[in-house]
Amino acid sequence: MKASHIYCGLMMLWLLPSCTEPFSPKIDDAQHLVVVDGRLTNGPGPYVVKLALSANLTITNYDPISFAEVYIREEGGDRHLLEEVVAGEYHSDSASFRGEAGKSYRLEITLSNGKEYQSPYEFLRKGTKIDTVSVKPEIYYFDELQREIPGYQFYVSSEAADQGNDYFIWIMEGTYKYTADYPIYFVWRGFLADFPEPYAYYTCWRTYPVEEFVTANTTNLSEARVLDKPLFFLRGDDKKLSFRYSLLTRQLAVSKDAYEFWDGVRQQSASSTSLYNVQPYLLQGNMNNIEDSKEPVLGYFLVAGEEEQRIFVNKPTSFPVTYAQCGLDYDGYRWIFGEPSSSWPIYITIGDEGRAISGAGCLDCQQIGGKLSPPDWWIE
Amino acid sequence: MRPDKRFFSATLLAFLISLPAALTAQEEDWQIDPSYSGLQFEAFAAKAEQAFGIQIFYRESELRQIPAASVSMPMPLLEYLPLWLAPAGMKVSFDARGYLFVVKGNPIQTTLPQSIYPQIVATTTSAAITGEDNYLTTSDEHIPKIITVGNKRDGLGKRSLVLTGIVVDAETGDPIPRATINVIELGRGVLTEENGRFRITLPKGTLTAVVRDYNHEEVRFTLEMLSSGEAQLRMIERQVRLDDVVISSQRDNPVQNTQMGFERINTRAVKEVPLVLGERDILKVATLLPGVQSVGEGSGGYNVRGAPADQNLFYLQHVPVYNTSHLFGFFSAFNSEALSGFSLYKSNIPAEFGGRLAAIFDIEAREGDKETVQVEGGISPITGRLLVGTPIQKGKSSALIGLRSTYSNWILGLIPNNNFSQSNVYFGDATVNLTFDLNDKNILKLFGYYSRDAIKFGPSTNFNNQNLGSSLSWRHFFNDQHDMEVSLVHSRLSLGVENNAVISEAYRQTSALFHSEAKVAVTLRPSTGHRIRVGANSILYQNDRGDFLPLNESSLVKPVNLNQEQGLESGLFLEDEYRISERITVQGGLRYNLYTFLGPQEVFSYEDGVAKREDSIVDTLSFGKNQPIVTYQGLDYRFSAKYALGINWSIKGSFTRLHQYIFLLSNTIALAPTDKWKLTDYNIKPMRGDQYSVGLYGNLGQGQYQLSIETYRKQVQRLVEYRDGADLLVNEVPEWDVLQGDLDAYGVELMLRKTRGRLNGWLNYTYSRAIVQVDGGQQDLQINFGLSYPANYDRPHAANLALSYRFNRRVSLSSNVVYASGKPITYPTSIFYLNNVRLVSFTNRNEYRVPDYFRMDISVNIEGNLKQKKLAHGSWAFSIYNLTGRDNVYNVYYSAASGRLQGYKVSIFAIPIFSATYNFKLGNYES
Repeated sequence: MKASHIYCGLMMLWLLPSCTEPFSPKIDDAQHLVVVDGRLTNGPGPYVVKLALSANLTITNYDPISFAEVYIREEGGDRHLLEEVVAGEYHSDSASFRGEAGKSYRLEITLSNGKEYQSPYEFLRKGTKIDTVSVKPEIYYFDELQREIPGYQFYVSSEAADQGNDYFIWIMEGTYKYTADYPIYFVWRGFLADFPEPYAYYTCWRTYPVEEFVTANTTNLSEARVLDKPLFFLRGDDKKLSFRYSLLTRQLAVSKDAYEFWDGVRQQSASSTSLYNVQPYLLQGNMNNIEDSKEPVLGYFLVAGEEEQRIFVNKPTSFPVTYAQCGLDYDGYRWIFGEPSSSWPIYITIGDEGRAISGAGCLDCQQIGGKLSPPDWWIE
Repeated sequence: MRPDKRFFSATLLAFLISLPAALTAQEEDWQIDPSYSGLQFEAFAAKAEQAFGIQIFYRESELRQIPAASVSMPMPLLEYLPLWLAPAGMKVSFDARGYLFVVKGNPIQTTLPQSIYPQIVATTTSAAITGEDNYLTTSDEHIPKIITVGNKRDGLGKRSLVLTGIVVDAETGDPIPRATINVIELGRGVLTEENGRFRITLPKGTLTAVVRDYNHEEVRFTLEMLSSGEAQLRMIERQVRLDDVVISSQRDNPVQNTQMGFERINTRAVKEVPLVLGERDILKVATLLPGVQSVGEGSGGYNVRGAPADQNLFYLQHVPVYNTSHLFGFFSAFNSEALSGFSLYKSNIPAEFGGRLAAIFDIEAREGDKETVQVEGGISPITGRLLVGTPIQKGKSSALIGLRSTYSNWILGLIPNNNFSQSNVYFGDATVNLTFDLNDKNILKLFGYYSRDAIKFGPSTNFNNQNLGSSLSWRHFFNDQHDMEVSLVHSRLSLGVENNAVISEAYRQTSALFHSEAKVAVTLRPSTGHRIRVGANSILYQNDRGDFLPLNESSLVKPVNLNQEQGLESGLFLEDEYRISERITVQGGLRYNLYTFLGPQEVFSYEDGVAKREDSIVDTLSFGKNQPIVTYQGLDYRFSAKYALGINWSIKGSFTRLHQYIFLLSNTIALAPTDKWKLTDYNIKPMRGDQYSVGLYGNLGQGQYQLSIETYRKQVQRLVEYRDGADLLVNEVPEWDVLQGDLDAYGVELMLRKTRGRLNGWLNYTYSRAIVQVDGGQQDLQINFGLSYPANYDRPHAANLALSYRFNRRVSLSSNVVYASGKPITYPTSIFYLNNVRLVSFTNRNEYRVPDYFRMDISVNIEGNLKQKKLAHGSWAFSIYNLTGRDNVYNVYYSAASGRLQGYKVSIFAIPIFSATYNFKLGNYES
């Protein structure tokens, strides 16, 4: 009997997470629906609209829709073209167009196959200021991993919102300083050369979108403000907390419909440990096919008043930050000379047993998305 | 009246042979050998009983001094016994049934053997005929055949006497309902009630009563009626059916009665069902019956014949119990020890019950013994139980108090997870049952019930749920045929939840449902084969939908008071069962329901044909206190007929129409502890259910097996469903989220039951479907795009095997095997991204199913020794739940916690769960 099973047996007594194991039911391929992910705020642009087709569960590729005509139209005003910058990603011109609170906007899309989609006019409300973003060390149990992991739990408190601004969405962006695991001593570019500054690619700063968002609704509260709302849990088991971490929190003031959609998809996608789940269903956003109102369209054109706040946290002292250090491949070193030029440059370090290579990001910190210099706003 | 000579000769004299008159071939087979040497009489008798299949009766006290047996050579038992016992003055006699009697003093003569069959004298104030004081009773019990009721002094000057009493199973003491008692000399008789009790007027003198019940051996008693009094008539469970016994019409026999979709389970049956975590659970037995499914492991509620759980009504001794489980469904909220059994009606529900479409669970509380003090208890890994019964006034009244409580928080501490170590679980329940036999015509009962769950789950959530109920019932007998029962009932369900996961949103929510009911039911039996039940009841529902309040000072939660609502549901009912001919019996029932939703209340009226929303309100209507807001009338009717195909087979058909005026606000996949009840109101209309049913019933193997095949079709109109994504936690205007649709359920249920013998149990298979459709024409009046979808409880194939085998009186083994199709589930079908967050999208509701459910349980019950004289008796129950350790899937979800999107299945009892329970009681095995 597996140890985890015994654990399941004990847990079942007081239910909830009970016993959880990976499981892959056979699910038929679904129809690919148009997904619109667009956001317009009163913050500086460019505003981005991403168009894609939904993917099957098992294939997690991203299937962008290119060559669409995308406009944001101001009610009673101009329309602004969004240009496709990368495949399926359409950007507004930040110099010529900025959202203004108090106005209404809609998104208009014409696909290359001629299908036209449109949102209703959405009102851009004034943002509500963030009061504080705070952090506390906590320990969470992960059902899927069947173990506890310490980390930082971030919380947000808002200032009181104006009348009628009861619906909030928070989106977040993290930046962290980290290092590679080993300095670089040699480099192979068809010939082996010394690497003059072994620590040149050692320290990086990486900015990434936090793959979570948080919703709140203050209609049940006496005051439209949120206190210590949990934002997200930053696990202490990777490099994000190895030196210093910064979290940028954007607080969006949105409409009731937008809240209901975002909150709905969040709940449906939450790693649900409750035995009392609400029946899931197809949630449709505010984009509609003009010709065929029955075509389900996923996603949302979110128009929101935005306020933001950035905080920094240092490496925690109350719990250890643990992550796997890269292994060194001494044997692999002997094979680098035959590698094709497409995999150059290959960096080489020196370990206890001599020269060695290692995995992506282990020697050159840039390989996992970081930059060698801190962002302008970074404070050490 | 003179004693019936034929009776004596038939039952006693001819069978009693004084030894060593003659040994027949059979008795000569009872050869003992030197292996019997050295045994004390008790062990000797046990060995002989086992070896020869006989029963030996003796007084332990008389044989204690007898020296150990000494058998030097093989010889017949009946030759050895006198040799051995005669020096001590003991005599041995036996009868043709293999009963041996060892008595001191005079040998058994051809006169009535009073020393063996002690004449039992019951006075007007004493009840039980416990003539077996000195005999260790056996499964084939030795039953006193002469019962003297009352005494001469009390009977002076009286001609007409009243005999009240109870018919019980000699072994288990369980009351036997619907047994017939015929008094031969008078040519008339009575039928016992559900609780085994009867009442009959008799003349003074000696009478012969023949007691019959389908599952028990026919038994004859000689009644010496001296004055009015009480008697307990004991029957032996039928082991071998005699060919010449005629099956008389008995309501409990599925072949003979008109009831369809009916099951009766008594506590004894429960004894033989494997336990979960050491808890014997009477209601869990229901899930082994065809057509009854548990909502889910670890979830409260039952789905009966493709219906949601809120279409069942649980009455515990007239008290409606709205929350039937502890700990969110792990245990039922009833202490099985304090119950005597339950009846489940899932087809033609009797007209006296109204208000639920699917099923009535009519649970009976156990009564205390009116003669002796009883103490029983048990301890399992989870709970401790104690049951105390005592006479209040000997022979007239009794009290029975049952308590159960968990003490199991220690288990939580073992779990290496913060969520658990910060949890705290308490649950408990109590029943109090008082019975007063005021006189021969009146019985008064007072019953109270309390159950509570206080669960602190993790650091931030507290649940506090309570049931409290009481009933007062008065039963009056007009005469032998007619009686009346009046009951007053009050019950309260209160739910509370506290959550402080987010400081500013920390809340406390409470709600309560009050149910006050008065009921009168009169039973008339104008002639044999004709039974009329007529009456009325009225229920006042006071539903405090609750308060939503800030939990503490730092919470910003705005206090919300969801309104109080009131409804009055009244019914007039009449049911008539009549045997038209030997073959045909018909039953019809009418129930007129009148439901009024009462003020004070503000209600909205809406535009027709569009979704009820804030923007479709056309008017707001205000109603004052107790002012009728809306009235719904409904006529429930049912009709059933039985056509007998000979003695052992019958076919039946029934149709039932019912209405329901209260439902559970729930849109979670399983029932949640926070689900609240809601009354039908101005905008939400009552549900209506029709059920057609046809069945074939048979007795096979001389009645040893019962076979039934029932089919049904059920259609519910205005089933309450919820708009996608509805938030029901703080729902000020429920009609905005309610959509009413249709439920179509159908199925066929096959049941084979073995009712007697060492091995008994049942096997059943059910094919059933439950399909829901909500299509109000336009998109916001639809669920699942207006297409029909399988209900959450649609499980087409289900099979259950429940078996129990008695090795002997001390050891029995039982096992269940449960199979069911997996529950429907809505899987995500595609992935999309929003702000770089990977999300899943769903399409058709309940398009998939989780893997099939399979479980096997086993349990062994070991009784302590069978000594007659002991202070207390103990027994052990060992059980293994989910013997094969199959990880039955409760739910499936997707998570990206490990980096990529992965499905996970949640199982609740994924390993074999072993438990041991120790039970004890005062007295011996039999008491």
